Amino acid sequence: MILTELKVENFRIYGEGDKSLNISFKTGLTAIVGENDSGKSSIIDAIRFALGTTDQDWYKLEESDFHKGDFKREIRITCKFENLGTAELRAFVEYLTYDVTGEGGAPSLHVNWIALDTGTILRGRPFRRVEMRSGKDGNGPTFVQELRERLKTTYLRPLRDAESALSSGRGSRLSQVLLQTKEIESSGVNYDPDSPVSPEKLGVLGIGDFANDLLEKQQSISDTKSEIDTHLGKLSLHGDGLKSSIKVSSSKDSNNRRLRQLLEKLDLTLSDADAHAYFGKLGLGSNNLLFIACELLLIAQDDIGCKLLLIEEPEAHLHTQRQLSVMSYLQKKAVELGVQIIVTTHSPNLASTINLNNIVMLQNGNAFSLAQGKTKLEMPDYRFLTRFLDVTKANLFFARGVMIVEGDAENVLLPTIARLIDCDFTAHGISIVNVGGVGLRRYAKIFQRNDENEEFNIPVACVTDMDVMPNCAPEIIGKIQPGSEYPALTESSRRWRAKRDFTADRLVEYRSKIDKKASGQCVKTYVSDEWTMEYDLAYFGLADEVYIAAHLAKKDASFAESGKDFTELELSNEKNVANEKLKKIKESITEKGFTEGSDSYKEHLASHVYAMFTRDTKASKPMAAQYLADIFDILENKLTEIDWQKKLPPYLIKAIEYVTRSSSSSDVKADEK
Amino acid sequence: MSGYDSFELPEITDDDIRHASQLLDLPSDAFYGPDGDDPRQDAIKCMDSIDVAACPGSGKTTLLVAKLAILARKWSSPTRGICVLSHTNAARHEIENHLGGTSEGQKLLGYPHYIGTIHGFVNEFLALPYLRSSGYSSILFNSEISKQKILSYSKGGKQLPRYFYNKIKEEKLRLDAVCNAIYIGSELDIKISSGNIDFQLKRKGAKKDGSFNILDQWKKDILESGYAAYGDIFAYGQKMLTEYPGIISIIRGRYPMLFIDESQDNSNEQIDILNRIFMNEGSSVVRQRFGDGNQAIYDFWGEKEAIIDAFPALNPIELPNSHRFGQSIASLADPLGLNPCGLKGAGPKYSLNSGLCDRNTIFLFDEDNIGNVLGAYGDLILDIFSEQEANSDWFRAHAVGNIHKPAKEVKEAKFPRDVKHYIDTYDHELNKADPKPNSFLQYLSAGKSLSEQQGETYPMIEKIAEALLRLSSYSIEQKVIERRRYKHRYVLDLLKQDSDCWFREKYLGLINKLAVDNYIPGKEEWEKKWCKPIKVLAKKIVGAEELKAEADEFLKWDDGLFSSTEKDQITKPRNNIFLHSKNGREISIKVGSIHSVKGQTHTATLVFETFWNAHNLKKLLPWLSGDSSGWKRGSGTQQKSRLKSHYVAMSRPTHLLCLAMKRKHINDDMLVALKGNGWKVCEMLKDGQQISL
Repeated sequence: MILTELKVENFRIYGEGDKSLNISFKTGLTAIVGENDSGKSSIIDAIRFALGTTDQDWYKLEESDFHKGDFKREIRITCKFENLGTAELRAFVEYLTYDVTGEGGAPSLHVNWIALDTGTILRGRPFRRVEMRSGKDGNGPTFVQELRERLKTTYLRPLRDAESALSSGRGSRLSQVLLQTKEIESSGVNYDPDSPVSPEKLGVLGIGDFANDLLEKQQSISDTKSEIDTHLGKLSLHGDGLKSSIKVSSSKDSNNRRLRQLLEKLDLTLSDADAHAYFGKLGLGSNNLLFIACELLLIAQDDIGCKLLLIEEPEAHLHTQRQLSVMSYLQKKAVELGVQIIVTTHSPNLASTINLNNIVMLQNGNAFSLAQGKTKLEMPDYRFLTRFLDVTKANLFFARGVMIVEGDAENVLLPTIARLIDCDFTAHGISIVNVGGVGLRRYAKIFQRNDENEEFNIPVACVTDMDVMPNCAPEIIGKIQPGSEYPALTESSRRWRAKRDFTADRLVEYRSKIDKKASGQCVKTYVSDEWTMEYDLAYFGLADEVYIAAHLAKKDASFAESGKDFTELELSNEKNVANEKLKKIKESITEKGFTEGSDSYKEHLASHVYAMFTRDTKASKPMAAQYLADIFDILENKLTEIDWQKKLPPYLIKAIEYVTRSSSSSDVKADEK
Repeated sequence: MSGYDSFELPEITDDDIRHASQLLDLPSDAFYGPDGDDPRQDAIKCMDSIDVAACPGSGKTTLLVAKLAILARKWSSPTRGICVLSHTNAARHEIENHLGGTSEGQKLLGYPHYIGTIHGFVNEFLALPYLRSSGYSSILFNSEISKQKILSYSKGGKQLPRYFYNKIKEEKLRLDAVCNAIYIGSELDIKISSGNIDFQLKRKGAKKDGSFNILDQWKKDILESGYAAYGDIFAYGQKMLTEYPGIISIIRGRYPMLFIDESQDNSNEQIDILNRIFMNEGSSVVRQRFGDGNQAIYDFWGEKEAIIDAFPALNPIELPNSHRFGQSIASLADPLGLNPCGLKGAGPKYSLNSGLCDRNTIFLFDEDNIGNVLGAYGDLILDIFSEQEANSDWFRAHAVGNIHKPAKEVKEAKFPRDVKHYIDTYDHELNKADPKPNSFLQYLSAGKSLSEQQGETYPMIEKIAEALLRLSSYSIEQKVIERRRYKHRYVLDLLKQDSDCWFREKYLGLINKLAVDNYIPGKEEWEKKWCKPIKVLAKKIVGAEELKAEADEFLKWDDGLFSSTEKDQITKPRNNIFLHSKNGREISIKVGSIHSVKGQTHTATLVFETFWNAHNLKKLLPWLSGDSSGWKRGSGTQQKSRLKSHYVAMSRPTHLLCLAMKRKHINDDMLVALKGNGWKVCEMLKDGQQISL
C-alpha cells in the first residue's frame, strides 16, 4: 500500500483549516525540499508519530508540538493509504473506507493519530490522550497492536550512527536483515560429525556446529576447558556435576535461536574488489550507504503493511558525487522493490538530481507537489527540465522569491541593481535563475498550480525583452544601409521588429502576448519597457555608464587575448577615450536637430549605445554587465536611492520590487487589484 | 485441506486432540469414547464444510472450544483468521472461561480472529464501514432512542401518516411497532412488525409525500443525529454487499474458516446474509455449523417455514449420546425432540452415594397450595442428595418456567400463568445478564451490594448516576438520554453545560452522602427531604421543565430494601434464589426462565406449568406420558415451539427432573400413563404436606 495523502493539523507550525498541511505522495521516492525551518522535519515527525517507527524508539509529545494559537489543543495527523494489495485488504478489512457510490473505486485506509491535550495534570504531568483510529474522519475502530506494528515506518535520522547499527551484537540490524532472507535457513546442509561433507556445502547452522566441533577439538581450547572444569568440580557441591562448554552458539537452544546467535556474531565491512585489503573503520558516509541498503532490503520483505522509508537529510556525510549516485539508486530501487521513500533535503545539489515529478516543495507551511498534473507543466516540460534543471538552478526550490532571467547579463546585473534600490537579493532570500536563453517559461510554470486554489506564496518574476526597436535603430545598429527602406516583414532575413511595424494598439497587444506566456498566480512577467535590457538602461538615464562598460568590454577582449589585465591607469584612460567618443555621438544627434532630453534624442542616443553590442567587434553583453556592475559600485555612494529610481528602467525596478516584497499572500493579491 | 483462495488449513491429529483434552481438563478419551468409535473425533478432525448435529449435553460447546484451541495453536497466518459466530456472546464467554488464561485462548480472542455475534460481525464489517464510508460518523445502534425520536417527530403519534393512523385504528397496529420500524434488505425498504401484523413499505415507487418517504426521512434525521435502530444493522450490511460487492472476497480471504454455533436458531435473515458473505457465488469458505435441531427456541416456524439452507443439512455428523444425564432422564426428554434422535444417557459424570434410582417427579398442586411446590421440590432434593453432594461445586438446583414475565391481570383459567405465581418474590428483570432495577432505591440497593462486594465506592456512584439519568428520562419533553458507558462522567458532563456550578455541587453532595458516607435515609426522611431535590436535579440534568407521573412511581419508597432499624441494615439480596431449609440443612434453588438456562447443565431441574395460549405442560401430556403420536398427526406452530422450549428445559438436569402441574389437569388414566412412563407423582396437600400417588 502507498501513503498517498498526509494531513497535519495543529502540529508545530501547522494550524487548522487553511493553515493545516496537506501533502500528497506518489509511489517511489518523494523528496521534500525547502529552506531551513520550513517544516521538513515536522512532516517527518508527524509521520513518525502517526505510524510509529520500526526502531522502537519512543517519542514523547512535547508542549511545543502543539500549535500555538486559538485552536483546540488537539493534534490530528491523518495518513491515507491507497493501492492496497489483496492480502492488505484482508488484513485491514474492518478498518477500510469503501467507495459506496457503486462505482467500484478501490478501498482506502485512513490512519488518524489524534493527541488531545486534556488540560488536566496527572501525577504532575500534563495528561494527553493519544488515539490511533481508522476511518476517513477518524470515526472508525482503533487499530489493534498487531496492525499497528504493520503500519510502522523505517526512519533514518540525519547523522545516525550507522556504524554501530551494522556491527555485530545482540539484535544487530545485519542479523535481522539476514534472518529475513528466505534462503538463510533452507540453503546448505546440516553438520553431521559422523558423515562429514565438504565445508562449502554446509548451511549457516552447519557451519556453526562444524566450528563448535573444531573448537572443541582444538588443543589450547580443550586444555583451558578442562582446567575450568577442574575448578568447577572443586567449587560445586557434591553431585552437581557442573561442566563448561566453549561454543560459537549453544547447541541446546532451538534452531531459530542458534541461527540468530550465529548471525549476531557477524560484522558487515567493506573491502576492495579483490577482497584483500580491509579498509578498517569506514567513514560515516559509506556506513550510511550500507545502512540504507540494508533497510531497503528489510522493508521490501514484508507483503502486508506500510513499506515506507523516511530519510532525513541524506546529504549529511555524503560528498557531492555520492549524493548523486545515492539519489539515483534510491529513485530506481524504490520503484523496483515497491518501497516508498520520503527524503527531506535542503541541498540544491541533491534536489537537482531528483526527478521533478518526485519533488514536494515546502513553503510557508504549505506543501506543493511538483508531480505531473499538479503543476501547469506538460510532459515535454518535464523532459526538458529533467535535462536542464541543474544545481545552479535548483536553488529555486529553496528561495523566498525567484527571479528568472534570460541570460548572463541579467544574472550579473540584477543583484547589483537590486542592492542600489535597497532590495538586496541575498537579504531577501531571492534566487536568480539564469535560463541561458531557453525555456524561461518552463521554469516559471514550476510555480504555477493546476489547482488555482493552492497558489504558491513565492513571488516569481520573469524578466524578458520586448525586442521591438525604435524606428531609428535599424540604421544605427546596422540592420539596414543608411537611408534605405526596411525590408518587408515577410522577408526571411527580417528577424527584427521596429515600432513602426505596429499600430499603437497592436504594440500593446504584442506586449501582452509576451506577458501572458508566463504570467498568472504568483508568476509575473516583466517585459522591458522598450527593447532590451542594455538599450533600456541607456534609454532611461544610464547611457554614459552602459557605453563605457561596453567600450571596456571590447577592450577587455583584446587585452585578454594578449594575456594581460587592465591596470588602474589603463582603465581610467579607456574611460576617457569612451567619454570622448560618446561626446561626439551626442553632438551628432543634436546636429540632426533632436533636442537633448527629448524622446527622439534618447532613442537615438540609446540606439548608438546599443550599437556597441551589434556592430564591428561586438562587445560581449556579460562582460559589459560586469563592468557596468563595477561602475555602479563606484557610483553607489554618490547617488541616492531616489536618483537610482529615476535612472533605472521601470520594468526592472518593478520586477525587483515584486520578488523582494515581504512574501505574504495578501500583499500579492492587493497588488493584482 | 484447503479453504478459500488456497488457504492451507491446518490438519488436526490425535496428538492435537490429546493436547486439547489436557488443556480443557478432560479425560484423554473425551473425544474418542471407550470404544474409540465416537463420532466426536470425526467432528473435531473434519476440516471441510460440515454440519454437526448434537443432542443436549453431548458436549457440543466443549468440542467446539477444543477444536478452536487446536486450530489457534496451529494457525500460522498472522493476518487471516477464524470466524466464530453465534446469536449470543456465549461462545466468546465459553472461550474466555475455558481458555482465557491459555495462549490458545488469547490468540483466539485477538486479531486476526473474530468471535462474537452475527449482529456484531455484520455491524463491524459491513454496516459501520458502509455508514462511515457514506459520511456518517460513529453511529450508535439503539432501538430505544430511535423509537423515542420517531415518537417525538410524530408528536406522540398524532402526526403519523394517515396510512399508519388508519392501521392503528382499524387493524390494531401498535404505535410502538410503527416507531420501531426498521430498514430491511439492500434497498433499505421499511419493515414494521407487531404480533400478527407484519408488512413492508417499498422504497421503489414510493410516493413523494407518501408514508414511506415520511418515515424514511425521519429515519434519515435520526441517522444524522448519530443513531439507528438495532434492527437496521442487517439492512445496512446488505446495502454494503450490494454497493461494494468486492468486500465479499476480501472478507472470505480474511476468514477462510467459519464456525456457526447454535446454528439451529439461525433465522432466515441471518442465514441469508451469512450465505451472501461467506457462501454464495464464487468459491465459498469452509463452514462448520454446530447446533441441535431439537433445541431451537426462537420461533421461526409457521408461515415462514420455508427455511433456506436449514440446519442441519443432509448428512451431518451426529453426536447422539449425552454425557449429561442417565437413561431415565434421557427417555423422558427424548420424545419432546422434534426429530427425536434417540437420546442415550451416558452420564451422569458424578454418581451419588445414595445410588440414584429414578426419582423424577411430577408435583401436582391446586391454587391454594401452589406456594408449596418449591418447598416440596427442595425436600426431595434434600432427601436424594447428601450434605456433601449438595455442597459440592457441581451441584446446581434450578426451577424454570416457559413464561416468566408477569402480567398485570391474570384470569383464573390461565392460572398459573408464569413463574411469579410459584414464588412471589420473583423479579424477571434479574434474569437478564445485568438486571435493570425498577426504582431509584433498587438502584441504590444494587449499587450498595456491588460496592460492598468489591470494596469500592465506584459501582455505587455509577448506580446513583444511572438512577438519576433514568429519572431524567421521564421528562414530559421526552428528552433523549444517550447510552454512555460511564454514567457518572456523563452526568458531570451534562451538568457542566451550565456555567453555574450549583447543581454540580448538589449532585456531588448527593454522591458523597450516599456512596462515601454510606448513608441511606429512612422512609419519612426519603419522602419528605430527598425526593424533591432529587427531582430538581434530574430535571436540571436534561434541561427539562417537568417530569411525568412515572417519576414519582420510580422514587417510591420500598420497605423491603432497606430496613428502618439500624440493626439489620443488611440489604435484601436482589437475586431470584429460593432458599430452602429443613433439619438444619439448606439448599438454594435458582429460579428463572427456560430461555435463560439454555446451554446450561443442572443437577436438578423443576419445570413449572405456565400458560402460553394454553397451559404448556398440559398440552404436552401425550409426550410426557409416552404417547407422542400427537406429534405425528402434525402439530401447529405453537405446539412445535412449546415442544422445543420444554425439550430444552427437560434436557438440563443430570440427576433429577421434576415437573409442577395442576392437579385438575391429570385424570386417573393419565396418572397411570405417567407413572407407567417412569414418573413419580406426588400431590400437594393443603397443610403443606404431600403424598405420593
